[in-house]
Amino acid sequence: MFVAGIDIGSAATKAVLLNQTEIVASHIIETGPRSRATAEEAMKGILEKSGLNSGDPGYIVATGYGRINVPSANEIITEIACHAKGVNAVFPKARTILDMGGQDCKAIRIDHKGRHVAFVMNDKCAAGTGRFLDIMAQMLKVPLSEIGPLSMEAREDIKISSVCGVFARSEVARHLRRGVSKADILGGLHASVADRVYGILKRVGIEEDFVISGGIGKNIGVVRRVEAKVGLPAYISDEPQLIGALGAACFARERVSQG
Amino acid sequence: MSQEKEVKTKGSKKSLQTARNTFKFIVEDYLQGHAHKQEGKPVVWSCALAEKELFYAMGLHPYYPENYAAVCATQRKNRDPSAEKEAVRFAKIAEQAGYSADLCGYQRVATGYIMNDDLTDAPLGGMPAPDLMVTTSSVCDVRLKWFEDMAQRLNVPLFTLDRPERVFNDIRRHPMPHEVKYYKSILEDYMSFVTDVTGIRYDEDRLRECMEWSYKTNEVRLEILDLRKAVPSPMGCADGFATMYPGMYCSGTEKAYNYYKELRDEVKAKVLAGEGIIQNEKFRLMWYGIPLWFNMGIFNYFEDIGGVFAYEPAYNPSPWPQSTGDDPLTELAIRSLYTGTSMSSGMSSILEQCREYHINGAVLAFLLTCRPVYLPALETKRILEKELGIPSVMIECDLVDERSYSEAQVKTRMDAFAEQILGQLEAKKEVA
Repeated sequence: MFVAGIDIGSAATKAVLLNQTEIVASHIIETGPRSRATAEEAMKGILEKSGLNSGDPGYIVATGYGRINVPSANEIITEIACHAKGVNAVFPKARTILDMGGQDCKAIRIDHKGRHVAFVMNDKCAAGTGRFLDIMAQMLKVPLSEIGPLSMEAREDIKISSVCGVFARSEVARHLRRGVSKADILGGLHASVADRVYGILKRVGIEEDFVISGGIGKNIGVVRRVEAKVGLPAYISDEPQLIGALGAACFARERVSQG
Repeated sequence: MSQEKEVKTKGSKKSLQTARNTFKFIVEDYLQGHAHKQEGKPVVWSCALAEKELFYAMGLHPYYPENYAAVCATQRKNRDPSAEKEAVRFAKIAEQAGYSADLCGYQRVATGYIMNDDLTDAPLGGMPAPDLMVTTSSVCDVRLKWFEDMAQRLNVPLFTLDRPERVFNDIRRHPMPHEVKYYKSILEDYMSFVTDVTGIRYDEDRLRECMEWSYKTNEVRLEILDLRKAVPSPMGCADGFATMYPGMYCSGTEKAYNYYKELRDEVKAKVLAGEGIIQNEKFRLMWYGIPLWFNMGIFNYFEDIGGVFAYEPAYNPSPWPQSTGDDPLTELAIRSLYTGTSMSSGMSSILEQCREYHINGAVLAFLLTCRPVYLPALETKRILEKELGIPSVMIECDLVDERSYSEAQVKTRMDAFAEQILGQLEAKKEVA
């Protein structure tokens, strides 16, 4: 039997289709203004890729901020539990997770079965999240996929003192006017994100192995700076954005096998 | 968790009839105060931790802006569901005058209420204009300048009960003679102040009588706390917070004593019948800090999956020292100084209570605008996990201003927390 997990985040919606042993298909799209339509589109994506019909997934688990708007879901589980489960499936020795998504950031400690035993989330401020870097990339006119590599070319990480996204924009504008390079500015912005998320990690407590999940796991600039602060290498899956949806699908598979 | 639930800002579902009747008690108390004022008798505005017997003994009817802000957090103008909460309306008035949204919600709401110019344009007909104000230096620093500001705006005299903060870390719990002497002198100054403002003279017998009512009330409240340790929980936080008004704000009166006798009898009957807030209780939670007054429904959030909020340390009484037979002002000074204000004594009490109330997890109100709650919350979280392995989750918010509330975030945290506790219980079963 096929099962599916769907993770409707604030920026991206991810879907994963599993059979008994492996991922059959996955699909990532931008989260649109209507969660319900986005969920349907993501599901359609994995079905098309796998050549299955809409009735084929025997169990669907929804997660993420838009989890309540997935009409086909059999069950709803929080993204914290799903990230824990998904990371456990990929990295069974993992005990600490940093999930950095579009609008929030979570540090999660898990046990050997992939159950979360503690978690801390960022407050309502957007600093330290994907959205913060998204705004800065737009302002600097650098494609989002390039800001991480460019930040690694920084000669020094320019100090960005404000943790507020709005005020940080003013600081960036001031640095640009003074002729500071984009690489140095991005170095500072990435360092400020790493500072913020490290605080959250410290609060939850860091144990080996350490995993980064979520879209920012693809940003080398943040990953390297977080690793330096934590003092541990970060394990990152090939598709860190899919971890939540994978965890949801793993839950779905568990439910089916439990009958 | 198999079902999704909505976190909405709404009132709580109370399990006790006495708790359901409390709003009536509050309304009657407000009406009595209005009648008192109309008879030309003096009204005082004050705050929690000021000794309430001092007001009743001097013939003052007290009102409490902080409690009134909590009432405003539950009410909409003319009960119009499309209107914003009255607390938000008043907070906005204060903010438009330059008061920062980072200040205590109680302060912003009360100040905005005063600045609205018409004290009757508010829930319960408002608070009657005060003849005097009395604040205390104890626990909360905001109340010193907040009351000074209100007193200036309303042009009324203000007295500050300067009570020494006793950070004794479990040592020297009994106050030293010089501390008693000092605080008694403050209480005597207070009596003279009231006489100067109102002409009412201090009557020692009247104060003694009020104190007898408070001692009796405190004893009954302690009995209730003891009953609440029962499994299943006979009285949860929804009932606990709903029933705090008479004890916190009417202590020293016969009506407060009668109220708690009735409550005790109701809780006792439930314990004897083995009746809990819910059937099939699976886990018990503690709520740390002041509640989110605009969203008391949060206390029912876990009930359909077997979770109950069984205990809240806030507003509950602690045992008082035995009566010394001294004059009532000395006795009152000793009683007031007996309660410590240190974080470490608070932490050791919380640990003990978590054991006694069989707590599995704690939800911490991380009130960014309230330093006395916010700062110990971090230590509470750390020590619960370290000493008892009890997990906790933090809800960031203001006490009365629902604009600070993020439903999506709270919902995710609460659901993930329930998953965590259920997972922990499952893991314990596996080990067993």
